[in-house]
Amino acid sequence: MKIIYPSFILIIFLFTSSCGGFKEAGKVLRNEKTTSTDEFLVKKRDPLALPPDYDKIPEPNSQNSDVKEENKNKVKKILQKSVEEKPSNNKTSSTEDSILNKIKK
Amino acid sequence: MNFLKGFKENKNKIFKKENFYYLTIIIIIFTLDRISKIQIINNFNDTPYYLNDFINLNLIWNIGIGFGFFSTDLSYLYNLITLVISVIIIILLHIFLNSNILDKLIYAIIIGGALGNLCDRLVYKAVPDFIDLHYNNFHWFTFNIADIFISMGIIIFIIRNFFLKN
Repeated sequence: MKIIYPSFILIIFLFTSSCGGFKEAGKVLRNEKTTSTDEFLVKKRDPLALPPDYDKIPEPNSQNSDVKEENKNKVKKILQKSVEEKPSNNKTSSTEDSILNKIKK
Repeated sequence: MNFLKGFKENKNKIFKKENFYYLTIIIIIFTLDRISKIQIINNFNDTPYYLNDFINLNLIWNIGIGFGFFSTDLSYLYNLITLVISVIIIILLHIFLNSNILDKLIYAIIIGGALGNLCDRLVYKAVPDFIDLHYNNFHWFTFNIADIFISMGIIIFIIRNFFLKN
């Protein structure tokens, strides 16, 4: 009788009442995980996803050849510029000479 | 045969004059519960309604039993639980009819609340809970008027049977 009475009460209470919902007390009793603002929690990363223009990205080998050509073009341009700049240097040297000559006179 | 005989005896006992008051208590509790639930269901918005620092009104549908146990989307399990609850209420009615005066009062309170929750399970396929008792951020289980009466009945039952037996 001692065992039957508490279990009888518990069964009546559990089955006739309907308190519930999904509040904190229920979660604790049902051993559910709770979300808290713990500053030491490690933030989970988002799952990996393909970029939207994934198909437009060039293939690895084709990119290398393009880069090489671009580099060659850049070098050529730099060399051309240096050649074009040389006469200007001469000019400056000539003006210097003329000034020096005037001074000497 | 004994069961049928007992059923016929109980049927005669229900309509006895002495049980009239207790049946009235059951009907009053059932009506109070129904009115409160209908008012909440018809007038409630999605946002919780603030009453004071300890009580909010927040409508939550419970498809399980007490403390949210057996909350499941499986219809056959839901129907099985409803059947079990109905059987428990019939057993309670049987005990109620064969009890003394004070026990009848206790069982009447419990049966009134239990019938209120059973009615919701049959009509809405879930029980609306709306009283959100809380202290700061800790919220107790959301409950309804029927749960209050069932808890009251159980507490009086425990006090009577375990502490005031003599």
